[in-house]
Amino acid sequence: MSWNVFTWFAVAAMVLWAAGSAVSIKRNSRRLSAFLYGGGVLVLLAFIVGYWITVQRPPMRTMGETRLWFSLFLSLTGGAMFLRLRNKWIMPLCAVLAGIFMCINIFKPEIHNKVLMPALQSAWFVPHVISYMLAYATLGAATVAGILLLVKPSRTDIRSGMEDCDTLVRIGWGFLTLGIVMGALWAKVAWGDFWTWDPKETWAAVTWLGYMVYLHHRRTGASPRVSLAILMISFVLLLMCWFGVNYLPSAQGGMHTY
Amino acid sequence: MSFLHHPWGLVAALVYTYLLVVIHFLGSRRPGLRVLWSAKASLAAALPFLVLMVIFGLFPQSGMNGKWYFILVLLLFTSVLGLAAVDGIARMAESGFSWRLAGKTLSHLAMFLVLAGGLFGSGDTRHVVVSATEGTTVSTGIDEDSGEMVPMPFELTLDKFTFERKGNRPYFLSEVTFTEKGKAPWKEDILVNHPAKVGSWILYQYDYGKSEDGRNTSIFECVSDPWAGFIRVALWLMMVSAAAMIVLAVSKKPGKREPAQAVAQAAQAATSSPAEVKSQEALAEGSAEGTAADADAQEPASAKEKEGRA
Repeated sequence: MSWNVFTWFAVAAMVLWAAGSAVSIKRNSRRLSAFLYGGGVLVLLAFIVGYWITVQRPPMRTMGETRLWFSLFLSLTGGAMFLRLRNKWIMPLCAVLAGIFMCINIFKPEIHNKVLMPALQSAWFVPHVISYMLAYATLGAATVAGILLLVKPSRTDIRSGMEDCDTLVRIGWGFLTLGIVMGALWAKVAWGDFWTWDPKETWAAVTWLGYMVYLHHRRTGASPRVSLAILMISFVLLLMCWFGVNYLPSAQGGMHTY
Repeated sequence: MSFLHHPWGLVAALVYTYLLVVIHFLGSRRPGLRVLWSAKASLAAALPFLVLMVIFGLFPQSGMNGKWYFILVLLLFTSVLGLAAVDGIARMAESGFSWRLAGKTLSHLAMFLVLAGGLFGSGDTRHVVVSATEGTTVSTGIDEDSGEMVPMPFELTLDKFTFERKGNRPYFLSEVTFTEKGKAPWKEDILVNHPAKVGSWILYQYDYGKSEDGRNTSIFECVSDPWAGFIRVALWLMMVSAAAMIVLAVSKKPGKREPAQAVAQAAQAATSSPAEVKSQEALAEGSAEGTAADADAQEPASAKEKEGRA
């Protein structure tokens, strides 16, 4: 399955997500909603599996490919939140965010340079990228949940809303830690050092610290609004680490510019 | 801290850790010290680190990890982490085991070990670049820190260097023979992601080129890092604690509240004054956190009470 057919799969997935979300908001039929939405996730998963078989390497190397996984995991997380938390807004917003990244892939795929360079030929490659994409997706969902709280801070649900954010950040930060540590262990084998403060690594540390600050700020008992602001800033730092680094002139010599 | 060489790196690391334990111990006499391992201290330590990282992220500088202010900021961060780890251990010794406290303590401890190992071990790490042309034997390299030619404790013969493309996977392969004093020569293949180990040195495929007479030349980076095993163990501990954090967060039942929290929430829903809401919120925050063993904000007060009774 080549990249040419991605648009069809992407459109089908997004239509199913939209339908599932619409049903969950308007009709309150959980089963139909989960069925439609889950169908969208499966369509995207089918494309990724087919594409993996076609390119004969894990499709985790290019920006466009990482966005595929992000969209998959974010939509999955949104679905899980829908089933678990009974908040009808998180799933549609996760789908919107996942859809934005799918659209970026339609209009600006960035899947060129398909060669798997030697440094990436390692057993660490797949778990490292998957951990990161799970982290990004979960933290994306936390951002969505945070935006919901900022936009309609009804007094009754701020506390449970903050708890949902905390849970998502804990999961996301856990995966972030797994990803960063696997990266360090891998770097030792590939390059000889655990950590070299290459620009991508520096921004990975910044992102990790950002969410660490959020979790500890929550423990101080200070205002949830400040915590939410930290959550939003942290997601900006995350995007900087994921995409921004590649556009920095300073990063061109870095070892992570793929 | 690259000025610390063996055994002073190890000595400094032990003294430093001991100092952290002493500071924590003094906290039982001087409750004011306890703020040093509170959540607030972690924020105070993380923010300068974060700001510095953002600056370095935007304007990278070579050798930034050797700058004195970088070391200072990292040392502050590491110290708060270390104190939090000691505090977790002390609390477990005092009040018994709980999964949450154990997970939290392990994550602080593992991260502390990684950073302390990096800080105090960096002076013992050596990088030497060795380049060999096909058919020749070398036993010296260029030290990356001093730029000087240094002898290596082994001889390396490059038998063959291959650059190949297998489908969409290019790969570089160096077939080498090592000779070490008192040992029979042996052969190794060195590839990216597949380094070779000789005594305390690990050789990585680093680069390649051509010699003046057109023969293949393979370039290796030799790294000697006596702290690598220690840091590797600490990194695996970090992964264990991260996995535990994910499992604990996922298995937490949504909507399950501490009783005090539920009461406060009901009160909140009934009340109309914003100020009151805020105070209720603060109250619930305190009591909910206080029930867990890891209350940072509330801990000093309750400890003080304990001491008063004693």
